[in-house]
Amino acid sequence: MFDAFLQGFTLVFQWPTIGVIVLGVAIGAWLGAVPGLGGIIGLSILIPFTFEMDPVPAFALLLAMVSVTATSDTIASVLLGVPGTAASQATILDGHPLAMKGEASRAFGAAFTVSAFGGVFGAFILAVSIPLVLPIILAFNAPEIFMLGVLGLSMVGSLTGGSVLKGLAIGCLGVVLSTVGTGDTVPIPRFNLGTDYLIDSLPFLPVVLGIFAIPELMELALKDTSISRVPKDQAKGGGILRGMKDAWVHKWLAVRCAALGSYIGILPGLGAAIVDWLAYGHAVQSAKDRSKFGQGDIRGVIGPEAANNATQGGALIPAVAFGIPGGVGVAILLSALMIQGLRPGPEMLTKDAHVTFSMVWTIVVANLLVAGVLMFWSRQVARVAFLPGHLIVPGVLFFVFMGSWLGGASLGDWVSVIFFGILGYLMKRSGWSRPPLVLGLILGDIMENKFNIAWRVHDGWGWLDRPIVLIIIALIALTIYLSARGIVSTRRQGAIQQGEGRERNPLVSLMVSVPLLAFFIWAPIESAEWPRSIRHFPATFALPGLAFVLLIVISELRAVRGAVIEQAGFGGAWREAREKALLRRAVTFFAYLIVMVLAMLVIGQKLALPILMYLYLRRWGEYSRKLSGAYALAGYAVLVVFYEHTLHLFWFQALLPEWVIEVAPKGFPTWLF
Amino acid sequence: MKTKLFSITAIGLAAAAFVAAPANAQYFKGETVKLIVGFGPGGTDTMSRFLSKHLEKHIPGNPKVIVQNMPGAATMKAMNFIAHKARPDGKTIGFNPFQVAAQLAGQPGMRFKYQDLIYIAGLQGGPGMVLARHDLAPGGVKTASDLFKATGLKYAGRNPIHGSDVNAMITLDLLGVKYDYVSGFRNVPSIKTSIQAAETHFTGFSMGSWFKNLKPTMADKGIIVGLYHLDVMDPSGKFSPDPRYKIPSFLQVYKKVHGKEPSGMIWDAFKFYTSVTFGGGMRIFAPPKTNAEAVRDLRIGFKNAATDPEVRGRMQNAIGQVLKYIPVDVGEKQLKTLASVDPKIAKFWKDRVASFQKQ
Repeated sequence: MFDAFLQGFTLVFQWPTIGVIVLGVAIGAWLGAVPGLGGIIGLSILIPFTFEMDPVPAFALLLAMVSVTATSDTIASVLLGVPGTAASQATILDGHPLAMKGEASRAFGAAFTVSAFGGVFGAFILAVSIPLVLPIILAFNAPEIFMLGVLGLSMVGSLTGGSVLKGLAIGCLGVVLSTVGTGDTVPIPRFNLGTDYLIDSLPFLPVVLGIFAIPELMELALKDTSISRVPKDQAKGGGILRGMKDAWVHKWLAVRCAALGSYIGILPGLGAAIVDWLAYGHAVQSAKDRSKFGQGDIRGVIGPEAANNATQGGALIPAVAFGIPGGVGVAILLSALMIQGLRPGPEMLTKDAHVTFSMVWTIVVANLLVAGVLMFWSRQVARVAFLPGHLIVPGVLFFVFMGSWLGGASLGDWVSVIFFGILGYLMKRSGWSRPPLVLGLILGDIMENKFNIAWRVHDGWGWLDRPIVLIIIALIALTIYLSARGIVSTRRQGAIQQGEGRERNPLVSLMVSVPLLAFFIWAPIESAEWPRSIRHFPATFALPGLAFVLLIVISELRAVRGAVIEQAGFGGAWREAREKALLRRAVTFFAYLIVMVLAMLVIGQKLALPILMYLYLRRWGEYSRKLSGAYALAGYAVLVVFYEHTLHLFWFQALLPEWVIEVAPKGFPTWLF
Repeated sequence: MKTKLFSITAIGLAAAAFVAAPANAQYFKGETVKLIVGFGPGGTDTMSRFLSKHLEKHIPGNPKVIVQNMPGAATMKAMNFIAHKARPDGKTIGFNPFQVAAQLAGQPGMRFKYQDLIYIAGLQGGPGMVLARHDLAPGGVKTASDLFKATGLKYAGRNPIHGSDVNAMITLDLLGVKYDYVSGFRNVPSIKTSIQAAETHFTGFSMGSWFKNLKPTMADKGIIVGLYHLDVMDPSGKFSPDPRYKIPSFLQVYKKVHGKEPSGMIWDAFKFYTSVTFGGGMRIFAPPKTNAEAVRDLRIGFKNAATDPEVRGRMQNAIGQVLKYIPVDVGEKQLKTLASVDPKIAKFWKDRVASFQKQ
């Protein structure tokens, strides 16, 4: 075994393997950094190129690319408050506030250090724990995975910001939304509003990009500010070295989270989607002083970033050794493995062990390489935080719209991104924490599936006395107790006005809670006729959701009454609420987006998006024609070169491009439209 | 001698391909053909990814061929797209399993009928199989009849219209095995771990999954045993065992257990299903009203790629089995049979799927 370990090492440093690792790192770093792209997309682009390669370099390319996305995705999370990939959603909670304080470099320094550590740690911990892996996988059956989902959901308590009720209600909303589309047990479409778009599920990317990215971009656009609210010359103590030092100070947190990441990573179907949240929850609960979380506590960056890189190695070993992939990315790698003629199984640990270990070494090398490179560049990258916001908004909007389009290539994706953008903005302005929605959306899907299986396998609740289930139940109780204590002690220290879910604005909040109330009433009525196995789960979460929202509405109506009395009339109260939430400018901003989508129906995406970029820069940013034009042209070039010729995207069949295809002579480059 | 024979065959094949290729093979020159796959990357879509490279060589005009995943609703999202949204220019075609049970059961969400699409090619997988844990009965399970000794059996499956489940469960019903159907598993690995952990006990798989994944990692270790494989039906309707399997076929097992040939409504419905699907595999469909030139060139490309000895040689390694090409006339005949289904058989399938959904 040790020979194979060394042989794997030499294989990785041979030409061309080391060369393709560098290439994979470069591609992965870029895909991770751009919101809406990510490792899965990279795999579908790269796999065809690996058909003609030898197995070791082929995997080196794919693995290097995939494993570094969890490092570079920190960039978008910290700078923009938009998760670069699903693996770094929790990083935004404290990473973005750090950037707003002018400390982006510090966040990068800490994140890249623990990412590299997590990646290497994950690879090695799995190389040595191969004998343990199968027993672990086999011990976690449907009931255990379901309970892990509940544990993840109980972390909501740490994410609720100012109002626990609102956090819980939004968590319920996330779970109910996760049941949209065809059920697993009975192929009947649920809550699909009669559309083909929602026939399978509510696509994840438009929701996440809409709810996180659009409100953050509006912050820049509406307040005419840069990401850092502190000017560059006044930003203090935010350097990379400080971040690395932070990582050292909190090294045990990083170790614990990396171990968590590696072992969660091997559990099929759970993996990367939840590990960053669990790590964040752990970081909060293991801290003595929690008052700074959500406002730029470096520990909130270190936890998830150490964990998400460790997951990559964790997911790989069971895939190659037992043919059980931990997640989608690894499943694709597994199929590439098979096309190469290797078969997963015990041979990957005996006869072909050198190939397996070359994969472990690839992960190690790629993680170290990307951390080094990003560290070197991070000074430049962090400067983005001090740029005028108007320069950032159109570029990010562009990737947000194209990223959501990748979800399903359907007009519905753009409708969703705007819908959840509006929802996200109202939530942000009125004290609704957004992360519970995403957590509910991810976990709801896994939980419903596993609950149904557990129920059928054990004929009801027969699984509740399984030892691991009991341990997880104890952990859930502990989590709830710690969250409750944390909430009480923060209350005592006095209300905190900053951070996710802490703005107060009852009138605007009613614009969220009243439709939500209607939704929670509608959902159980809509589902009343469905077969039991697909009806129970949404109803189970809609009813408590309804109760929470009802309490919220009552307390808000009271607050509104207070405001009306104070402002001598409803008009005055509304004016105050509206001005506080910048609603006028917000409406204009959304009008731009909606008009762009309407225009797109006629002229197509390749023209509509660049025109939006140009108009935004001219009218909101008041930039010159030359700069705005060059910016828009660059956007157009990315659409044609990357989205058309590399990703071969399905574009919306708009009137103009369809007409061009109809009338153009053979050989005319119709892809220009 | 062997080489000579080989080269003669090769020349013959090349000549045949040349003759088959139309003189103006320019329709797809410089174009891109997208294969729309109704699954996420990995797993089932391996087949299309493997074939895409070879299709580039074989479709006249040598277009670029790429795989686009449009996962969702048991391939219905992708196939609805092919039926209603894709441009009928042959550059967007569906490459998916043939979900005949969905059509027979009138699945909500399926907004097309297979017979309304244009048949390009069929790729027949080997017959599926049924496996079980070895330790279900005292003394170990060796044959399907040992299952009668076991109680509380749980079948791990996907959903009632999934091909592997349809084939496995209907044959188990014919045999008279009693079991609970645990549906909702999403892929091969999740079923595999569930059975390995003894959470569930048996299931049906495709031939590729069995030989490529389950056999080396579980059967060779004695955790599971293959009980039987499904018999292969030829175009004339005759069943026979598949020589690639070392385990018996369903009909062999049935005769041993019941001492006669199967008959009755369930058997008729199963025979109808098999005559339309040949057990499973992939079907490639173009949107209705697709350009005739494109249809011709695609049919040539798929035929030549699927019958190319080099491609077939690599297929075993890449996807675990060599797929059989189903010619256009046979495939179109199956669609006609499907369109004119006996109402009694259609009702049987509708009721059967509905009965699982009530559980």
